[in-house]
Amino acid sequence: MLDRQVMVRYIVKRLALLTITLLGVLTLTFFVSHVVPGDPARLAAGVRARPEQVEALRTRLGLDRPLWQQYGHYIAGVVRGDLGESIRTRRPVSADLAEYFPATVELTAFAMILCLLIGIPLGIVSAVKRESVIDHVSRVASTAAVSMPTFWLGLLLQLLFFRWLQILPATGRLGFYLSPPAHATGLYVLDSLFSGNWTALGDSLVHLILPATALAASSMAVITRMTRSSLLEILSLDYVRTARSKGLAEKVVILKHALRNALLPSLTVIGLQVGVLLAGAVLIEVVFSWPGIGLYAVQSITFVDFQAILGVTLITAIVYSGVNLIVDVLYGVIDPRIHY
Amino acid sequence: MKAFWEKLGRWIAVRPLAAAGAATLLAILLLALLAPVLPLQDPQSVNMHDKLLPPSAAHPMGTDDLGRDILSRVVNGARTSLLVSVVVVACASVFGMGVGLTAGYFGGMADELMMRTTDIFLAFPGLILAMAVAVVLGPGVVPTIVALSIVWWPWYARLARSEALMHKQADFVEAARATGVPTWRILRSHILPNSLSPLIVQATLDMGYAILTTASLSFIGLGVQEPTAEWGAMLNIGRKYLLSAWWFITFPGLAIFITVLAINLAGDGLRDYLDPRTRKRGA
Repeated sequence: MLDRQVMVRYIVKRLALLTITLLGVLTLTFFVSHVVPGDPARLAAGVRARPEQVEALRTRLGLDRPLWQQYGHYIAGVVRGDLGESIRTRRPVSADLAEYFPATVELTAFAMILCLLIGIPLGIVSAVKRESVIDHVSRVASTAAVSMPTFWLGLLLQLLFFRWLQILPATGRLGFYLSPPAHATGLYVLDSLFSGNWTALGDSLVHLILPATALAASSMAVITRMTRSSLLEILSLDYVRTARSKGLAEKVVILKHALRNALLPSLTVIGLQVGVLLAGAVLIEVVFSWPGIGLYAVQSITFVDFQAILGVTLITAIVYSGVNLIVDVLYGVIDPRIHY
Repeated sequence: MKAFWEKLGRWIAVRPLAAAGAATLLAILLLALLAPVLPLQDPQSVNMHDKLLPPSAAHPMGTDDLGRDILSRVVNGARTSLLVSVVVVACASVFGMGVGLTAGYFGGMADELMMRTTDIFLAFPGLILAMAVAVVLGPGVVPTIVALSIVWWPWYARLARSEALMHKQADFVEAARATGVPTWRILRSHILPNSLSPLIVQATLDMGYAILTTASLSFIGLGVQEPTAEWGAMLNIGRKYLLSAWWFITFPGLAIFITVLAINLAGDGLRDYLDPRTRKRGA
């Protein structure tokens, strides 16, 4: 009971800190969007606008008011979910984000699943069979994976599997001959599952293979290395030796005794990898024409569409901070030694 | 001198991968420095008759969409990438170290302020923040350097802070304080030198990330742009010819991969050398 109170107090404290951080994030994006780029009204109106149009827009956007009033207006707007208007799509940025975000979630979630399903077992095998062929191969592969530009790996995969072997699609979320499944979550895999649309399910999974693999590679390498090194450290501890010497099967020692403790440090790393995946998704979405917020941001770059880019920046920062908060709380749930 | 060679030989024998990384990196540095005097074609000379030619004796890496020699542009691209990454890491580490050491040493409000400020910067995935800043600052080498430095300094500040916290309680620092050594001299001659080696390792490994991020920015059309030879920008154009000209994306990407790999291998070796504790970890 006491523990739960302590935990709740910790979470409240972390949420308060997170609020301060996010307020700082907003201040930073406000600074970037309102102070630095010279004349936002000019930019928002576009290159071809006449001076009186620019002035009208300046009044409409409240840019003629003092800076502190604009700041208050901006924060109040964001809190209400108003992220401004995109000058490219002529729609509210929040509406655009709602449309593009599910595709990014689907891509990063699949990449993360790949990372965990392959990275952790590979790390375990590398640690248990240290200096074996598997260990060496996985070490070489992970050094290569962290040194490779994500987007280049994506291009190479397209070249190999689309251009030469012709077995996997290179772009988009679905074949052009299919219509998207009935909208529920915006994640095609889930939506087609819910509506029993097996053709769409298969096709959207096939379309995920290449982009998710390219996106996952470097994070998978980091998770493999982390699992390996922390499991190695745990396996040399006294309690593991005790478990072994009382005759427990090696499998039990590793999976039940050692692994649980070894995975703890990996948890923090996994949380940080969410940020890496979100950033990588921007590049992968460009390579694979994947209609997520990364592609949306990059398409906005050509139009110097600040509001759109800042919207993407803001939403990634919020998701990333939220995930790291959850990871820290989980850490305490899993490890009884940690007191807040 | 003989002792030096013996030491070098032993190092190569113990850590062949780190040695290979360092040697490759040295070769790339030399290529980049000597690019203007090497017998290469002009990286900017456009020749529409020769566009998108596959690799041949005349163009070992083929030509791009404007008929420019890709080999020459890859070698010249090394100049851009190395310049940007060295300057970024230098700016970010010097600034971050100054802030971090001061905050860690003084503690209290200064420390709290620094931690909360870095919280804000670390709430963004690096590339995303760099992207937003780069959009504002516009294209070019200098804006790219500024954007990346803004993203990177908090990491050094955090690292330097933890080092300062560790060393400020040390006996020799207490002794210096007790004998009336001025604070800035304690920071400069006692705290800084003792905090340097983890920061150097971090900076070395960050060079690789800096190259990757620079290339990523120019790949999405920000940062360094045409006609400057830069690996990410070349890949950005090359991907439009993916189906017809495989060499266009292959070689610039390979250049990034080899350079970053060399830095990572050399950096790992440096870390093990400066911090013997990691040697037995086997990671």
